[in-house]
Amino acid sequence: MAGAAYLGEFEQIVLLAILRLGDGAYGVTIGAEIQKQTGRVPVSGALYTTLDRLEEKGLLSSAMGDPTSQRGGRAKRFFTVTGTGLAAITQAQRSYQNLMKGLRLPGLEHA
Amino acid sequence: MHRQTIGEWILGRLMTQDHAAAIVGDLEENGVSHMRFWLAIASNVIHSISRATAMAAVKGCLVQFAFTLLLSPVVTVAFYFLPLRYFLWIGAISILPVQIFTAFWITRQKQKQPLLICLMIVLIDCALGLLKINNVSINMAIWSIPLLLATIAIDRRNRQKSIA
Repeated sequence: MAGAAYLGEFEQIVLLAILRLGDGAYGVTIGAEIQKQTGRVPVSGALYTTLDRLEEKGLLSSAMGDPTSQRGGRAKRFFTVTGTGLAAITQAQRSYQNLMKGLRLPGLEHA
Repeated sequence: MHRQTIGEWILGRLMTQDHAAAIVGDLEENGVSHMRFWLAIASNVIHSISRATAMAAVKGCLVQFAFTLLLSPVVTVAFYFLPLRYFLWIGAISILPVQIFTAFWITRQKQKQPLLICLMIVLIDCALGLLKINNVSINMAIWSIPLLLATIAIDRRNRQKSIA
């Protein structure tokens, strides 16, 4: 794991939500996806700070869309997971799976 | 002025204008109430405070203290040679250059959020002023506004220079 970026739990959730959303990942949809899949309502500040931090780490890239009247003439900021980001989340999930091997947790079939 | 404009201006001090506008746009798209809008803005401001920013604010307070020490001989001389009412005025006015030097120091740091550092220093100054440790701490709190204005002005000039 040498050289790979360490990912916190919320960083992993955000990266996975962006991967699930594909091309339509921006603040509103990312927040909604996290809420839908985890039942956790992300705090606005925590979400945008995490997105900025992941972009600084080179795990995400962002691009501004076109302004819309629904948003008061403000543009959306779309996020995409980079190759480094994909490698980091894969590594993090593999570590979780290794830790889970052989464990029998209640409510999980393949633990 | 609309809440979006104010919210965007506040966030624009801490991040690029594009990013600030995108956050405010997201909040508008969600159609949040006034309270949730301002809570989200406050949450973004609080989460923007990095450890480096907090350390810079503490350093700024130490720099202020160092500047105050440099000026203390002037105030001491005033204490011996001037009547008490003039001495108090000199003590109060001598804090003004300290705050302006501090504003220059803040904006010369390679930090992304000079205004946030300034606000944190102002909060520390005000807290110390409320504790009434001595005349210097009280004057420092009173003269926080020039520090804030000077930092905004220098930061704005630096931004305009970098755009040009």
